[in-house]
Amino acid sequence: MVKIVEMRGVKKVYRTKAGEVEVLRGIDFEVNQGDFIAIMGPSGEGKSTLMNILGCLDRPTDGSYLFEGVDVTSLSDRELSRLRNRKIGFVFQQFHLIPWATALENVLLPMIYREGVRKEHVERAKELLERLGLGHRLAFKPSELSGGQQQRVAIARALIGRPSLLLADEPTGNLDASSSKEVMRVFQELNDSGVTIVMTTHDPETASFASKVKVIRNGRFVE
Amino acid sequence: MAGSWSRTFGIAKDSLREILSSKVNLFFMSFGLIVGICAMVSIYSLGKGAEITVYRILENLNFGSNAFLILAGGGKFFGPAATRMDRFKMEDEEAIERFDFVVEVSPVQLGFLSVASPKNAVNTRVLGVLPVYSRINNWGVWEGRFINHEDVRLKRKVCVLGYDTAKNLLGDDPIGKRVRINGVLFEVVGVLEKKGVIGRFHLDERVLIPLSTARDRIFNRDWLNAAKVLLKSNVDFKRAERAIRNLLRKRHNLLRNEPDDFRIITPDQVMEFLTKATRTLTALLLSISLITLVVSGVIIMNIMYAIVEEKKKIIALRKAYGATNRDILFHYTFMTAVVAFLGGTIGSSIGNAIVAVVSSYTPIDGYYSVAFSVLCVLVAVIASVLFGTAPAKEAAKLPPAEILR
Ligand SMILES: Nc1ncnc2c1ncn2[C@@H]1O[C@H](COP(=O)(O)OP(=O)(O)OP(=O)(O)O)[C@@H](O)[C@H]1O
Ligand SMILES: [Mg+2]
Repeated sequence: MVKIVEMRGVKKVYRTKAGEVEVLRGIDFEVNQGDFIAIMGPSGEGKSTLMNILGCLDRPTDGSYLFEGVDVTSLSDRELSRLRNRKIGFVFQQFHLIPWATALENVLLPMIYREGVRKEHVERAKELLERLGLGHRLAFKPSELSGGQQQRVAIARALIGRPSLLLADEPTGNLDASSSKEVMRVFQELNDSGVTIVMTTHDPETASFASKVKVIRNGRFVE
Repeated sequence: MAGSWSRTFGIAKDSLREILSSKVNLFFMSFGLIVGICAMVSIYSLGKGAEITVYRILENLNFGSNAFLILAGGGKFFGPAATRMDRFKMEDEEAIERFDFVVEVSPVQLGFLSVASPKNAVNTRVLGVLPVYSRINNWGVWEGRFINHEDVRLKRKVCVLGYDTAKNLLGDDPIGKRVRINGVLFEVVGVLEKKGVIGRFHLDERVLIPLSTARDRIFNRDWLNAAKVLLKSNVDFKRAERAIRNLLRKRHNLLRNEPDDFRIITPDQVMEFLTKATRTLTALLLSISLITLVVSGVIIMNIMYAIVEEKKKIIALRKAYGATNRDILFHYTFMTAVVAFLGGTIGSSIGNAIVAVVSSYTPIDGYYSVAFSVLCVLVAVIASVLFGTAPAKEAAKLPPAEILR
C-alpha cells in the first residue's frame, strides 16, 4: 500500500491576543492510496485546522508530517505552493469559485500556476465537467449555477491537476439533502476509480459514504 | 516575472478579468488619472501652441531686431492700456524722428469703423498711415498703388484695402471704385498683398488711409495709437530705448514717480515675456502633475486595499491552488499598471481633443506632442504602480489558510 499522508504527534497552537489556543494536541494520522476517510467531531474541535495542515496551507506547531515520503515541515513557502498545485485538490463548504469566470475557466485556474493553461488542459476540463453532468454549463458563471452545480465545478477544479489527495472541508455543508447525496455519489465514484479522499463533515449521512470515519475530540482522534 | 511566459500570461489575463469585472472600481481608480493627465497634456500643448502663435505674429509684423513699437497708454505688455492714451502726439513722433540713431518712424492712428460699398458693408480696422508704413512693415500692394506723399499732403480721400476686404466689398476689380468709411466717400487706389490670418489678427481685413485724412476727417484727434521706430543697425538698442523713453517722459511732463503713459515694446521684452510665460506655465504644469499624481496615487492605493480586503478568499484560493507570493504580487501590480495605462491613455486623448477644440475656436495654434503624451502615460503608470505596491504586497503575504476561516 502506498502511504500518502503520515502524521506523527501533530500539534497546532494558535496565538491570539486573548492567549494561546491549543487546538490539535497530538494527531497521528495515516492516509493510504485509495482511502476515503471522513473526519467528524463537534464544532470548534479543529477539523478545519487539521485540513489546513493536511493541505499544506498551514504548518503544524509541532510534530512530523510526511507527504508521499517528503517532510513537508522543511519545505519553503514556494515549494509548498508547488506541492499544493501538483498533489492536492481542495473542495470547500463555500465552493469559492471565481465569480467573474465561467465554469470552464474556474476549473482551469490551477493550471495557470502549473506553467500556464494548455490545450490538453482545456480538453480535460471539458471532459471532467461532462463527467460531472455539467457539459451544457461550460460558459455559465457561478451565479448562474445551483449550489450543487457549483460544488461539482469545484470538484472538477480539484481534479484537473490529477492530485494524489482530494481534501474536502464540509463539502455538503451548504447543500440541501438531495444535492448532498449527489455530491457524495460523485465522491464515491471518484474513490472507486482510485482517487484518495479525506473530508470533514457534521452530517452522519454524508459520513456514511466514506469507507472509514475518524472522530476528533479534545484535539485528538478518539479510537 | 512569474515563471514561464504562459504562466505570466495566465495571471495577467486573470488580473485583467478581475478589474474589468468591477467597472466601479475601474472608474474610480482611473478617474483621477484621466483628469490629471488630461490637464497636463492640454496645458502643455496649449502653452506650446500659444508660444508658437506669438512667435508667428511677431515674425509677420516684421518685428526685426532693430525695430520697436511705441504704444499709446501705459501698462503691461500685451494688456490693455492702463493710463489715458491721448498723450502720444504727432509732435512726439516728429521729435523721435530727429534722433540721429533713428532711420524712420511709422505713426499710426487706428479705429474700428464701418466700411461700405454699394454691395456690402463690414466693420473693420481702419489705419491712418504714412507711405513709410509699407516699407517699415515690408508690406507692398498686390494691385494699384500705396498711399503716397501727395495723398498725405493734400489729405486726399483715398484708401488701400486689405485683400479680403477688397474682395468682400468690391469683388474682382476694385481699383478706382469708391467705398464709404464712416460715411465719408473714399476712392480705392490699391489692394494690399495677402498676408493671411495671424492668430486673432485678420491682417487682410484692414483698410489704410492717409494719416492726415484720418486725423482731420475721420478720427478728428491729434494723438497716435502707435508708432513703429526703425533704428540704424549699429546703435546700442538699450541706449536708444532709454533716450526715447526720457524724451517722451519729458514731453509728457511726467513726475519722477509717475509711471510711463506709453509703452515701448522691444524684441527683448517680447522674449522676456515669452520666457516668463513659459516658466510660469512649466511651474504650473509641474505642480498640477505632482498634485494629480499624488492624489490619484492615494486613491488607487486605497481602492486597491479595498479590493484586496474584499478578495481575501479568492487570493487565498489562488494560493491554495499553487499561486506563489510573487504570482499574487504580479497579479495586483499588473492590475494597477493596466488601470493607470487606461486612465493615462484616455486622459491624454481627451487632453489632445481639448487642444483641437480650443485651437479651432481661438487664435492659439494646435500643438500635439506624441512624446509628451507617451511620457505622461508612462509617469502615470510608474506612479500608480509605486502607490499600488503596498496593497499588492499585502495581498501577496496573505496566508493561504485564510481560505478555511
Ligand atoms: N487562525 C486562527 N487563529 C486563532 N484561533 C483559531 C484560528 N483558526 C481556528 N481557531 C480556533 O481553533 C479552534 C478550531 O477551529 P476549527 O475551524 O479548526 O474548528 P472546526 O472543527 O472546523 O469547527 P466547525 O465544525 O465549526 O467548522 C476554534 O476554537 C477556533 O476558534
Ligand atoms: Mg470547520
